[in-house]
Amino acid sequence: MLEQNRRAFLRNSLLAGTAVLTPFSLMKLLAGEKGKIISPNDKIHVGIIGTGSRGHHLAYLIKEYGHEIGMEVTALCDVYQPHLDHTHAMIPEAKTYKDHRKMLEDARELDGVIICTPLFVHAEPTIDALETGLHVLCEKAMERTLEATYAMAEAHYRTGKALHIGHQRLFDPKFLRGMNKVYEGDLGKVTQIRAFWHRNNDWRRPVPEDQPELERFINWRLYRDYSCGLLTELASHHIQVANWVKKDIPVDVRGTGSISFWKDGREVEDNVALIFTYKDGTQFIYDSMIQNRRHGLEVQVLGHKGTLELETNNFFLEDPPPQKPAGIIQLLHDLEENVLGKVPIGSSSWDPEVAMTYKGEPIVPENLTDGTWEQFTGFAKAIREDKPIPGLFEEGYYGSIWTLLGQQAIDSGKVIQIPKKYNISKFLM
Amino acid sequence: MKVFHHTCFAMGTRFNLVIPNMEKERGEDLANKATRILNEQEAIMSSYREDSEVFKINRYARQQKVKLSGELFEILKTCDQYYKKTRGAFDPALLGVTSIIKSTSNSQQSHTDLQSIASGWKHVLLDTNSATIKFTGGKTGLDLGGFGKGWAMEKIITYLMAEDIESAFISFGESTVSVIGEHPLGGPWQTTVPDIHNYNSPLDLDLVNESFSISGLKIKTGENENRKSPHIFNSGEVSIVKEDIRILVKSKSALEAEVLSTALLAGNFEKKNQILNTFDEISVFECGLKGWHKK
Ligand SMILES: NC(=O)c1ccc[n+]([C@@H]2O[C@H](COP(=O)([O-])OP(=O)(O)OC[C@H]3O[C@@H](n4cnc5c(N)ncnc54)[C@H](O)[C@@H]3O)[C@@H](O)[C@H]2O)c1
Repeated sequence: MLEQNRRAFLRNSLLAGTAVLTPFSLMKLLAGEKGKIISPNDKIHVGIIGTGSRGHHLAYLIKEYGHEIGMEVTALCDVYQPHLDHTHAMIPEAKTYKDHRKMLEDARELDGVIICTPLFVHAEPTIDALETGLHVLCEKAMERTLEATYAMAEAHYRTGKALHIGHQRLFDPKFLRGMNKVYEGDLGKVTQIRAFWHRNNDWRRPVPEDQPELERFINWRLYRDYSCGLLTELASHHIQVANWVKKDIPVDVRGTGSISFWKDGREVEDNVALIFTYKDGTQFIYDSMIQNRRHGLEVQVLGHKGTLELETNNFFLEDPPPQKPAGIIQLLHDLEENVLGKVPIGSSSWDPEVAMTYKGEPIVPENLTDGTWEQFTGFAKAIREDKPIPGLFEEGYYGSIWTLLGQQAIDSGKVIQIPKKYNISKFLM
Repeated sequence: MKVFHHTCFAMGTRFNLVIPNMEKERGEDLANKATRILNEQEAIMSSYREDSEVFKINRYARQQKVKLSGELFEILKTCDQYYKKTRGAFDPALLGVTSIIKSTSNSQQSHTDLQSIASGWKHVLLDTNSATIKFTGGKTGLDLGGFGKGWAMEKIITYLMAEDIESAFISFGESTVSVIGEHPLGGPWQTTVPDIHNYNSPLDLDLVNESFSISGLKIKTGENENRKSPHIFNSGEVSIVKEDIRILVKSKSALEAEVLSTALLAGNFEKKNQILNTFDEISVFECGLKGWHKK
């Protein structure tokens, strides 16, 4: 493509950049990194900011499996001493900090940082780390406001350092392979995507009895100043997936939500429903609730030839191919080997008149991971090559932006579109 | 040896065609044509597809005479012959009854209820002069389920033989199986059918230019436990099949095998014997609790 054309193309495509993030390239990346011999001098040192529930879990993964990709946690930072102590006990060799700026003063000892603070504390440490010259993996969603989210994007493009957002489905083999199926036309024309996330619990974390003043600090996800609840903490994942399926961003979103069950002083909805519309007419229909867990979580991609159920690793064809009965398989085998054998008709459980039941097929042979570990492989590669994986950040960005726009739709009762200023294709010219 | 294999979904079951000593390219041509034949037959005979000829007849023939296509006219004349020859045990117009049975939640309806339903071939007026059909019974409807696969199989065999195919193995959902010629290594094609109650004593069948068809009812079967069709009908008579039985009919004609395997599932012993006596060159096997035995 001529440079001029390329620029025009990028300008015209809102999700510019994503065009180059093919599931195939990520699959290749994961396969390529697997089993690589890493020299002891090539260790990657990371610091974790926010050692609460997620931060502790990620620290554990790196401690256990980091040797596979040559990654080590050498610094931990949290403002809350009990959490810092808890993770430090697991990784005693790591340096500890109570202020992320202090940690960044020792940036020479680090190659990257992983940010697991609450949603509203994502932008500040992220931007500080990028400006210090470090690569960042920041948990999803990006931030509490559109402005802060955009500021993070701006810092990423300005510094040229990688900013990965913790939408781990981008590295989940079943999602990667599923996305390939979509792009290769195995599903036919996709005109609807449905996703839901249902739980049955109050979504509260325990607060120390003698320190009730910590309620908002610990249960930050229940309060509007800090979080958009079900949207930023859960829906963000599936919104990213829907954009990924469509290789596009929505035209608009409408929605509704309420606090209808857990009326305990929380400020975020306990049930929500959203519809995102894409320019080809596709709808992405999302709902979430925390007072019934019967249906769990799922993303369904519906095309005229097939359906993906990504979370549960299933693919269904609208017209399933007839399966070869065992007898026919044996007959073919015998004939090929020039053997005169008996053709077994049916089996003990066979019922000649009953139509077959079709249970679909797995997308990947075994559903062993949710991509959380694999995303570190991508992060390690970006750090070693000192450059972002093309197209990856944009997935996280628009996934986060449209999550916040979904909240706006619920709050305002209006149909919401993306304000022009949050379009980041200008950075990609 | 080189073997060609084609499989597709047709007429509600999976169709498998195996042709030994056949190159892929020519095999595919043959398979395409065979698939087209199946689709054409399905478009005529399906009672589910809203665009099929039978579906339209079932909708309109209660009110008025409906003109038949040449093919369906031939089919129904053949059905009429089998209806007569089997003394009504083969009845291709019981759609109404079967749908009533399927829709009622318990299948314990009384015999008399079911017997009084105006359904079946005796309520069909097939006018051979004008090639039209009209139903005289309120619940009559064509259901070619026990006929269509046999009819289509005959067409496929005729086509393949016209194409000089000397050896082939063809299966329709493993319930209707036909072979052309001998096994390519010489001698008959050998098949073996399991005994549904005692898996150690299967029925071995040798086939040369022959077909067999199996019918059966599963009354208690794990996954399909809730299927409710312990009743079998012929010509308005209800038989209750209590046992889980299978009837296998082997014949030179795939159609005859298909028609008889359904007809013989029902009816009392005497009637079955009468039917058997009117057909030559067929072998009938029944598999009940005591395993397979020849009739
Ligand atoms: N990708 C996933 O599947 C996934 C799963 C769970 C959580 N998360 C994300 O991880 C993030 C953290 O969630 P969590 O459940 O671990 O919450 P948490 O409340 O358990 O942990 C947050 C931690 O950040 C600390 N913190 C707050 N302000 C800080 C600051 N200024 N500097 C340093 N530390 C600070 C808190 O003390 C706490 O320990 C959220 O963005 C959440 O959405 C992602």
